[in-house]
Amino acid sequence: MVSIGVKEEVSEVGLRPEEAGIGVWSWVLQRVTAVLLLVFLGAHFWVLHFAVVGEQINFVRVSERLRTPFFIVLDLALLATVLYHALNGLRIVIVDFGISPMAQRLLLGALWLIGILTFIFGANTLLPFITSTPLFYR
Amino acid sequence: MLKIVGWRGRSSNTPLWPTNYRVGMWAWLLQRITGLALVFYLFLHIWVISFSAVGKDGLSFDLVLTALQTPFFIVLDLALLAAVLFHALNGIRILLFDLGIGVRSQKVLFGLFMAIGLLAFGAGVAVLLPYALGKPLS
Repeated sequence: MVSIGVKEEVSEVGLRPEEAGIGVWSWVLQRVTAVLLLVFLGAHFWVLHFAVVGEQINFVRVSERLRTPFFIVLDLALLATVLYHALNGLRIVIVDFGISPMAQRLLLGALWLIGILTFIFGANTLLPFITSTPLFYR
Repeated sequence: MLKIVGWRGRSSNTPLWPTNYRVGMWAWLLQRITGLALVFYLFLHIWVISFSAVGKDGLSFDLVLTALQTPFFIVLDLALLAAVLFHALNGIRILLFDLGIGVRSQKVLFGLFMAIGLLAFGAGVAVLLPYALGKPLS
């Protein structure tokens, strides 16, 4: 018999924050980032493709927008949020194939490293629009 | 009795065999597939955009963007829009279930959200189709 015992799982793992392990936190954060992405990605899509239809997007126009603190914060928040959601989603898919607990820990560490490095890389790409020079060239 | 044995010896006579999938399983599988596709696109996007701003190799943002605004890439944009819409709307459906809303009418909700997605995709096609067919951007 197949039973998918949501209730049993909840009582075993514990949903109260002080009992929550890494699995529960990543589950909660996946939902939180999902809601944030609806807002951030919605804004990103709208501004770039629909706010002004048929206009060539170019460096000058994007720079004008990106120099305002609102869009700097929005874009960096979008970058961090989307990286967490994407890499945690990838982790869930891989873990569901049934890898060992040790492999799961290694995977978690590797994905955090990739995420942090990609955030730095992406933030550096945004910098020239704001300050006219990046921290480093690729 | 004829017993058809499926992939890796799994019986094909279970709800977990693809030909026996119902709405919820297809939604789950498509959420994973679109998720993985979007992870791939995200890293490609961060990489491609980085050429424009941080590259020393003579590629400017405007040159890269001119290439990305050709009909071929606008058609790919529509595929991206479809994947994002499915993932986002099915994601909202999952979030509702997590809050205990609508679990019993999950199939109706799936139909409803897919209808919303089709309408939004139609709006996207209406906006982008002229440019996919070669109308120049101003």
